[in-house]
Amino acid sequence: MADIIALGNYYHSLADDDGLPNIKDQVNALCQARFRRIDRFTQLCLLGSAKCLNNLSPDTNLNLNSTGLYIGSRFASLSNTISVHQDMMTKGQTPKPAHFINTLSNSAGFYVAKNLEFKGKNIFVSRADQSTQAVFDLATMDLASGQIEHALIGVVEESALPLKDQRQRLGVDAATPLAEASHWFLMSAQAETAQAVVDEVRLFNATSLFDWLNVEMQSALTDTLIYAPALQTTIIERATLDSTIKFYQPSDSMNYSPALTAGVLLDFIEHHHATDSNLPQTLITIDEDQDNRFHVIKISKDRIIDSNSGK
Amino acid sequence: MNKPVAKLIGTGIVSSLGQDIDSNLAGIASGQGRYQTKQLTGFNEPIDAAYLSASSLSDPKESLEQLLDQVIEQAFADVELSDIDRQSMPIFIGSSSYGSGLGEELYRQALQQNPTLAFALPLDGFTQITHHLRRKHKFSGPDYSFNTACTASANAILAASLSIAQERHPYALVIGMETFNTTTLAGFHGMQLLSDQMMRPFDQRRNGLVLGEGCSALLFSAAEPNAQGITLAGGSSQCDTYSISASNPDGSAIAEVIEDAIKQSDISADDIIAIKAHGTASPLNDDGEAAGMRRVFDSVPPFFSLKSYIGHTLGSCGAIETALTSALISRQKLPISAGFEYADAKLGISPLTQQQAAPNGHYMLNFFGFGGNNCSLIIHSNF
Repeated sequence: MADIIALGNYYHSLADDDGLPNIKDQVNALCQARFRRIDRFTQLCLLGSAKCLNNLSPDTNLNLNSTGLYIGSRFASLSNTISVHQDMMTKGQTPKPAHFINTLSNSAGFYVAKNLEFKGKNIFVSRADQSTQAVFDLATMDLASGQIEHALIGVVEESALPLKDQRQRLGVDAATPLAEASHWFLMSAQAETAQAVVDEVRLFNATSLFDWLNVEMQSALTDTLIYAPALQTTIIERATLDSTIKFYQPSDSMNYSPALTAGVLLDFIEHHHATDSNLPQTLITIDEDQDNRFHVIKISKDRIIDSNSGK
Repeated sequence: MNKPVAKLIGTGIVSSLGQDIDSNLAGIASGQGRYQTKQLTGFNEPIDAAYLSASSLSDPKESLEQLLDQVIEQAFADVELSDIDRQSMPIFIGSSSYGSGLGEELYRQALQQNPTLAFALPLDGFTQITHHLRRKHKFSGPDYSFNTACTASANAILAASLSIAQERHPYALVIGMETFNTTTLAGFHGMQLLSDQMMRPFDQRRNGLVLGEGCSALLFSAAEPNAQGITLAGGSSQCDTYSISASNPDGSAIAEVIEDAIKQSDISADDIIAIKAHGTASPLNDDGEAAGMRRVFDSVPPFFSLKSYIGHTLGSCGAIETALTSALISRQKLPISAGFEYADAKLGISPLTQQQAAPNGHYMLNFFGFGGNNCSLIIHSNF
């Protein structure tokens, strides 16, 4: 369906007593240009995207005019928009122009495109905690159309302080550990060397999910892992197979953010090396949303020639 | 075998001109641009901002849901679909504001009730449209909420057409939505982009925008390339990194997206019968758009802007203006560009001042937005 040829990663777990880390120096160190009046969401996007392109093999011919940029996020520009709303409603101030423009989610895409000198499609898309699936789905569709040669995908979630408000905003309980994340994937319709292959991006209802899953597991039981923390018991109960289903545990402990699924995909690609034949080479992530829909991504490392870590 | 194309089979629209397609077309037939203001309260200085409202409801949640209900009912009124086709079809949404107004209102109420507990952005604005579509209208297919400023629902249309061309699903629903919220209106006011009169796209006296509220639903089905009716021939979406708030005034980036849209549609520039311009009446946008058209076309086809009638509906203008242009073409009429009187010699071109016939063929629709997002769509009419 599409090959993943480079990765870029920024992840930071958050503690209640800490402030958010200043990432300006990292952004400046990696970016070609110095951008003024950018917000934290844009900084996170610049950081992850620059890391991803830095990890690209120098042999890759990246056509800047036909590389699409796809950013997915549940909240996008968070702290800036909060500040704009606070200034309007508690101080009676109109938004400053730069602050207002940064409330637009695609502002971050503008700066990423400017930094990387992209001129192709530049898309921001959201689907709550399933923004990872939405952005992968759109990018693979555009790659299949031939309108673009490469797709740079970022799933980026900013956090805002205080974390107790952020937890309410996210709808998670007061004890949930949180993270900020900027996970990036460069994809090609078909590359000579790839770190992983995106096999499927699907949406199911409950019945069709388990029908599909049982077929998948029959054909590839020993070589497939499932990441679906909220569904493990249900999957075991509804599986028609006798053998034990294997569930994926990310190598690094990952706190919750709406970008968690992208982080798990990235972790699997980076840490499960194809050269180790004992490790399963396929991962299926399953996310259930509030309306009982199941969002699935299946990736595999079957076709790997070059599995250099993206770190 | 040819790939299927996206054919427009159902349209719903609510704008400041009216609550359905006929009232909107009647407003456009009048040839009169419109200007109203909305007073924003709670600011240190009084703000009367240029704004054309579509909803009479003051509660932002009720307003958003009513607009959605109206356009869904209209778009599906004459279309018979199986339950499974309706439930599983993908939904492509384009908006600038999404549920921003709902978040503002909840924060406002919380501040009044207990300021120490109040926090800004208490809800996930992007999901407010999809939640309502799933829970009230039982759409449970994949949803994509595009947020690319003024090209959001134009990009949604492009994605919907690709979904159909790749035979992912025989139908696709596009929603363009823009409802009132304080942030947008105060933000445009703060940037001094709003006009103190009706919009005058491409006129030498143009001095800015009137923002507009509105919603549109476009239902597409798979069809043969030469199907009767309105089909999407192709399009292009690109990024112009000249400036975050304006396209390159030399027209080069706009020319590139127009040329690519023509190429993707497998036609030549000579095949374009007329152009629905973006036409925001801001000096820089119209400069860049006119220059872009002049770069591509030896003789620029007849063109018009719809924004004087309905205001600039931001992220929903892709869907709303495609709905209106398709309806106008299906009735074989091109509208005058309201608000235009005096040609700007610097632009070198002028929009339509007389209604014209709209024969079968290819029509271009242009959309440009903050963040460097440029999108050009080409539709084909066959009646």
